[in-house]
Amino acid sequence: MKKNITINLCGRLFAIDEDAYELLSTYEQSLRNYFRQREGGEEIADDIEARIAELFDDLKQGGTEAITIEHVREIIHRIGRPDEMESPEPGSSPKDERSECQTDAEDSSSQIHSTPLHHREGQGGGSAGGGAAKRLYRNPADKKMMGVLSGFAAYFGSDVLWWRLGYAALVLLSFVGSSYNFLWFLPGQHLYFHVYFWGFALIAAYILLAILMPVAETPEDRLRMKGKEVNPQNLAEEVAPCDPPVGDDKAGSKHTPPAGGLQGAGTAGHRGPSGCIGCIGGFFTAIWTVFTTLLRWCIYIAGVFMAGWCLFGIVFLTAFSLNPTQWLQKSGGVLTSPEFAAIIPSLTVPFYIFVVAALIVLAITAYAIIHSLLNEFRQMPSMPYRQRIAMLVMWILGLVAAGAALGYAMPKFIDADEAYNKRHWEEEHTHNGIYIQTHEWEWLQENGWEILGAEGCHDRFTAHGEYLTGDWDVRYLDCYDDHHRQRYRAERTETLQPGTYRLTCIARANGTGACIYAIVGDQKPQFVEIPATGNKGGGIWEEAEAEYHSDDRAEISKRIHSIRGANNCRGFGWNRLTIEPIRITAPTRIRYGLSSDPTFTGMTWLGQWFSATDFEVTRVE
Amino acid sequence: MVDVSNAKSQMRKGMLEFCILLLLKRQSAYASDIIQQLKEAELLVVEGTLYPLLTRLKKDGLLAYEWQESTQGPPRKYYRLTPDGQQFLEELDRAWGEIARTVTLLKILQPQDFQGQ
Repeated sequence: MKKNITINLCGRLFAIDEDAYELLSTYEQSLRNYFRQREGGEEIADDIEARIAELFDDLKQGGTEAITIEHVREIIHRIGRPDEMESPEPGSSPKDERSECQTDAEDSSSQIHSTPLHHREGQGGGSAGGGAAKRLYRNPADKKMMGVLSGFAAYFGSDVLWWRLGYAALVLLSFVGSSYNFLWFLPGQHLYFHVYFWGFALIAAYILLAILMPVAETPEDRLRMKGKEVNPQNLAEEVAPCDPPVGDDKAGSKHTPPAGGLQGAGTAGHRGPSGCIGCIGGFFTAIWTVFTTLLRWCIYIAGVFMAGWCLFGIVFLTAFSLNPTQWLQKSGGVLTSPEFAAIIPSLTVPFYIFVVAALIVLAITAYAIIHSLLNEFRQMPSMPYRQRIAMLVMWILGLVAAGAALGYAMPKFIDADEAYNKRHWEEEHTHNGIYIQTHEWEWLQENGWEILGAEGCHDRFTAHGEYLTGDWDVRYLDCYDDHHRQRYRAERTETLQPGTYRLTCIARANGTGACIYAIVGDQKPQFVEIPATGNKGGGIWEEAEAEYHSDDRAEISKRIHSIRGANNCRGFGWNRLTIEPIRITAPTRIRYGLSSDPTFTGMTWLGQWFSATDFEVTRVE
Repeated sequence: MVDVSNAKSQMRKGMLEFCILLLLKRQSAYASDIIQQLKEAELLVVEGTLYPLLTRLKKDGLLAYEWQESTQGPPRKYYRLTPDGQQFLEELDRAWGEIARTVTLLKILQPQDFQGQ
């Protein structure tokens, strides 16, 4: 049983099998496409259509009830393929892509002047189905997502299953590989977004290919996708495969499409399986439809956003590249630093390469997205094959160029950035020409200390962790050098009223030659050397220890127990030091502090470290 | 191996235009009549070849057509030769005469016939 429809061809009605109609429609479309770009091409196609009508009429007169696919095949064979009709006429060959249809040996050699050579590659075989130039299409007939892999499989003539497995494995491997870092040898892993970079790149590549690869919509496309010759026989095969199509045919279900040639004829939908299974199937189909619809809209919205970002990128990049220096000056930071200025000359060429390439990539991406969105909503015809391929090639080239420019510029930029950051850090931590850590600087500031001698101090002027009470956080003046070469001097200033004063502090050292001092006005400094008790015991601890052993235990535990027991009873060598008397006759400034600088103290420093803190000036009388 | 069928096809294609004009000089005709006669003369491999040719000849002003009502079905194009076409055909005819003479001479003359010249 075959479905049968009625068509209106040049004002005459013919009953025709549906598959025959499909073939005829395809044939006519190929004729119109072939002659479209030629002057009078429409007329040629009309004439041929009239001829077909004549031949149909002959069949009708001969008693044929309904035209079958065999009849149509015969007529196509008789009238010929579009390329067979071509008369040898230099210069008038249509530039339409349909002229690439594979032709047989007899005919092609007669038109060799009018057809580009590369279109007949692989023609040696000459037999139908073999050796015709293939084209890359998305295959809608066999797809899991968009039919991209299926198209590749058709193009390379392999089983799509391997492509799918391979692709899935690659994506999986990329994600897992990024997670466990066993793809370290691939480029891109050093980028800060390296995690999952290749996995996302593979997915992005799929989406891009889905946008750029044309869909094999027509039977001609499908033949080209498989690399078969586009001729009536193959077209007929493609439209109506040899095994009879499964279709329901209600006897006499003829319907007359609106007049106006072949275009108006209707097609019948297939009916699904009936009964309960059909119901359940229908339920899942409905869920699936909802799901895919939602997914599609998500993709649309994502596409709109992406296109928007691309357009924004184009505007931004253009504005930026027109006057980069002005923008750089606004940005501050490394981009305005001398380190960056030094590498600008070497970045100029890669920069403009990057800008041009990035603009191309962005423009193509935006155009492709907008185009496919419009195409999706039937606002625009789909892009011609060549345009797609050209855009794809340009896109890839642009990406490669941009990547190369970036790859060239990035290491230089990173070096400049590092140098800038180092310099900036040092500047930030240099006070009065002395490099010092922030927390140390803050503590010194809070306590009124000024560093006057920093030579050989290894950029460290305070410490914490060995304070006599065992309080880990208490900070004190401190300096260390293995070879006792440090010329340390920390000083504090106070203004005092006339009277007699005493300076007290606690201090420790592991060698002789480190002093605390006090200077009244412009007088000679008074020095008191720190006893070289090391970092065990010390005057204060011994005092506490002695009192601990005395009888007055209640008193001890109140006052000094903590010091005796602190730091696991080690004492850490602290001593109480006093400079007195300090006599002030008129309101004057007094300077005091800690030093190991022989040129100042007149003593030779022989230890490695010393500490001091809790400086206090008290009035005695 | 030289492709004979190809050479023949080339020859036929070259002749086709000439033959169509000759046919139409004899008698105005429908496209289907022209096809019929050309097929009998084995000048036409596929029918479709005729239509681009007719369109071009009409565009060049060598042919013209008028719509003729037929007994059944829609009106059909009835092709005839224009005065320009007539003139063009005469030129072609002259050229053909020369070619035919040359070919005939080449076929009948022997190598020694050329040596005298």
